[in-house]
Amino acid sequence: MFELERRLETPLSVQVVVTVGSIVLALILGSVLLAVVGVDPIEAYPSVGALMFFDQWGWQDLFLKMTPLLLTGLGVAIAAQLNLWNIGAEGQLYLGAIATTWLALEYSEALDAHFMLPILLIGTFVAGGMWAAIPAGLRSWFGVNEIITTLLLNYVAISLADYLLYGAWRDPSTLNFPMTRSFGESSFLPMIGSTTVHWGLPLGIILAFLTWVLLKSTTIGFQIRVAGDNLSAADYAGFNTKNLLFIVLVLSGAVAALAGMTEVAGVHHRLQQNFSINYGYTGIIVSRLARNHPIGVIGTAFLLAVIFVGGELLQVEYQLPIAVIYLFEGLLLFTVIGSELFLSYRLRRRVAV
Amino acid sequence: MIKHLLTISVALMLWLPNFASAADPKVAFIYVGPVGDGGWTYAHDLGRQHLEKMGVETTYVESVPETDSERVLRNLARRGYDIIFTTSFGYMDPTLNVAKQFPETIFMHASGFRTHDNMGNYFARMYQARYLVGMVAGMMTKTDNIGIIGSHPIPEIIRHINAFTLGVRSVNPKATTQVIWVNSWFDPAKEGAAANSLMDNGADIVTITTDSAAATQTAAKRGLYAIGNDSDMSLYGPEAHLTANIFNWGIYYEHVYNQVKNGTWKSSSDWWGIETGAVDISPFGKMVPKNIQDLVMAKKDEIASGEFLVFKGPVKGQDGSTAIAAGVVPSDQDLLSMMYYVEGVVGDIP
Amino acid sequence: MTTPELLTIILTTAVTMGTPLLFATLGGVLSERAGVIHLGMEGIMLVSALVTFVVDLQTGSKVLALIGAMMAAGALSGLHGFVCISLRGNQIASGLALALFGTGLSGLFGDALIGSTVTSLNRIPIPGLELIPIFGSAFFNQDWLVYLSYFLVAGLWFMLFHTNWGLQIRSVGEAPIVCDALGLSVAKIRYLCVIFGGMLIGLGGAYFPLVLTSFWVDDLTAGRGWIAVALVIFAFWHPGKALWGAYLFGAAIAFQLQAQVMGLKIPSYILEMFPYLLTIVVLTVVTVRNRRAGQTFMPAALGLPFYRGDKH
Repeated sequence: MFELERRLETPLSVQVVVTVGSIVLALILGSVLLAVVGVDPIEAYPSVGALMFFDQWGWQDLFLKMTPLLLTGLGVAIAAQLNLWNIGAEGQLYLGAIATTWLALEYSEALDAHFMLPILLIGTFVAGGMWAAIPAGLRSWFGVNEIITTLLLNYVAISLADYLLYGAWRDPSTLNFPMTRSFGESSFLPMIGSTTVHWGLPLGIILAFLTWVLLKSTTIGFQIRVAGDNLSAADYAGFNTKNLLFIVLVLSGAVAALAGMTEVAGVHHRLQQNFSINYGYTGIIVSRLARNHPIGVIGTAFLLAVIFVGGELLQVEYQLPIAVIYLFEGLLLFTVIGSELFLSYRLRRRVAV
Repeated sequence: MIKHLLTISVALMLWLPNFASAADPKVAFIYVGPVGDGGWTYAHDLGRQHLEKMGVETTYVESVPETDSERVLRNLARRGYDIIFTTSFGYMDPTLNVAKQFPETIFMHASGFRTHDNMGNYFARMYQARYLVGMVAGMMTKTDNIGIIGSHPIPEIIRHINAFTLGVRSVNPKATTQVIWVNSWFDPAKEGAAANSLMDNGADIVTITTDSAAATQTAAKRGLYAIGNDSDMSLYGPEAHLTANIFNWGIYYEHVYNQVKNGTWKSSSDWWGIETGAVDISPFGKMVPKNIQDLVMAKKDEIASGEFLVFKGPVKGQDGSTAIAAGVVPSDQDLLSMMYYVEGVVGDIP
Repeated sequence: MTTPELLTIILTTAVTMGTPLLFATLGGVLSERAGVIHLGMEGIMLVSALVTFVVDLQTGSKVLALIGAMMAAGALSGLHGFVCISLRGNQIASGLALALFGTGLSGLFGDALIGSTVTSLNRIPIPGLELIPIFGSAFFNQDWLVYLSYFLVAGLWFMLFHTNWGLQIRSVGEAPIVCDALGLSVAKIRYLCVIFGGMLIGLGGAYFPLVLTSFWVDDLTAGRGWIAVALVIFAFWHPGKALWGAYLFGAAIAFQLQAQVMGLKIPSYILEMFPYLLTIVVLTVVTVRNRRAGQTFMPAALGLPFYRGDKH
């Protein structure tokens, strides 16, 4: 009766309708799930929504949660411009946190306080880039699949953090628990006004726009776009695609590593175990939902923050087990991914031949 | 129409935070793991259920990452819970931060060391029970080789390994304990493999410092013995399970609840011992002879009465040097930061 | 302890710890050979472990438990297939969704099972073979699921590389447009591979309650589904190499534990990194060698949705 026809282009209106539609569908499916576990969705949605959106703490929570997701999501999105899958944002985030911690512990006293934040920012960026240079180099010059190398390096980075936390960096003043001592105040990311939201969020937004500008209006951005479309065409055009792959993956890791910096310097002010709640892996979802668009990740990082914080509130308000939250998140992802069909295709009445 | 409005306003009122009267405090818990972990978090949740059975209104939030705990705590405090128990070391600073923001709410943090006007901390002297189960192991071993599966090397775990080893050697000076670290808080399959490695190397009794029943089951499969941790694990291998050191958090939670209800609560650091029943050992397995049971129970009474102290000099370190000088009783602070092995432990602290 | 004894101990642990990884990797190989990436293994393994546990507890039958696990795993994979094949959704994102979904599902229904326990499978020595020095008891004194995994490795290899079905599956993963033109149903073949692949992953989940841990706790598999994701690529989508990869990871765990007993002074957190670093090195060497020989092993259409109406 109907068949699918590929759209030549996707108007903005369709993008908005499909995205909103899929979220609404997820909420409907979610309400079934809630009803099954004995919660009235008609009561739960508005009350949780009110706690998030009509409450100053709610907004702060959302922005805090959004920050690392934005940075890891942006990192993944950068790699995706060349159809590279950076599954290693989690490890890059850990490495970024390790770099920040090392700099903060080592130089807090030695250096003028004004230099600390720039040093943390640049140092972490460079360290993340160097870490990502391993899979980047292997991919560019040896053709080693970056999905597996970035994934495996996650485990290495986490073990490295454990090694330091259970060894050299253990702070005797916290009864030898696996956490470092607190950074000096010069290494704290400042808060915005009198809120609990730190400057990591504006940093992420600025980086997102910078990435967009880089892609849109620079020569290298042009090369990346061409190569992302068709690698061999870029080769023909005489671009050095090996260098492009390398640079893009390194940048991707460097940006994701900043998420580690904003978490330890902005929130915890020390390195401790399990400080990331799969922010790196969630970054893949953030990027994907934004169809890897650098500005789009700002919106999807916010959406994921809403899901996390909303899920937490559901837990607190209705005593739901965490399992329900995972199910809810899974449902939402499925509907959003499934609905993408309608972005690239439209239903058309089948014409009799 | 009016009826509708009434329904709506009643519904609205139900949403508003209920400011409970002090007479009936509402209690909330946050857990670092799922209540289904069968160990640490499970034990705390049994404590919560104990309150619930008393008719207390309780709630819990499970699997709260330490980094998210501040937000969850704030939400619980805003919802009008009067007592909030935070049951992981990593919640310490977040608890303190939120305690400062909500001076009317009482916060109790487990296993840390910070306090505030409205924040106390609590823990149980599990090492006392560990000493007792160590005695059982020391008397039951035939190979004089007892295996211990460690999770991550933090002072609490090291303290427990030491207390266990002291218990073993108090009755069997020839025996040693061999430690394998699995570097994970939770990985039952790997714990099972570690139990096998220990038994392959001659251990005939294994115990764990993580929560899962993997060691008990592995021992049962091989016809050897195991000692459970945090909760009675005899279910998982009755023929292998000698005994277990266990928590009874319900006793402590009831105590705090009553204090708050009566208005007698004051910020303090509670470290409850075996005399309170908050820590204990589980019923002995059938294979533990009566004379061993009696010996252990006699020692339990000595510990409960304060007549016997598990950590009291002279205690030798792993290399035979003096760790605690003769006659010295280490402070709680010393115990809480213990990072060395006593004599008789084989292996390295990573 | 003598060296042969030590090797046997390490190998035995390598096989028991490696077997669930092996099942899952084989499932991933089948699915990805047809062009569909399967990232949701952790979720599938958890759900199938749960179903195994429940069915075993209710019926006492290991076989029924396995069938239940495979059906649950097949159904969940079918969902993945629906999103990726019919709706042409992104395969990596769908896999992540599945991982979340499965973790949630198992957690929700698992809480009631805490404290229950099932019996585990017995070891069945194979006469003669088990007496081979060093290797014998490690490989031939195991439970029957381990032996099943040997057959599956051989069977999958034979099917993929020596039968017409295998040719069709590989072609669909390499050049779906051509297959479609030849009259093959790309969607049907992909669905079948995703669902049967999912069932194999389900066997990996079932191995936990049946052999490794005969009790239920949340998050029982402790992240092994993600290792299997990496192993599929490490194995270059080849069933035989999947066997080595899975045992390598098992052996790494065994070595880490054994090194502590032997008193080797290697910081264990550094040892923890070892299998991952080794995998990267091996992968690099093999990739370079293959490229020199002019071969690439990755299915060309891996991760790409296919629809007949598209004119690429």
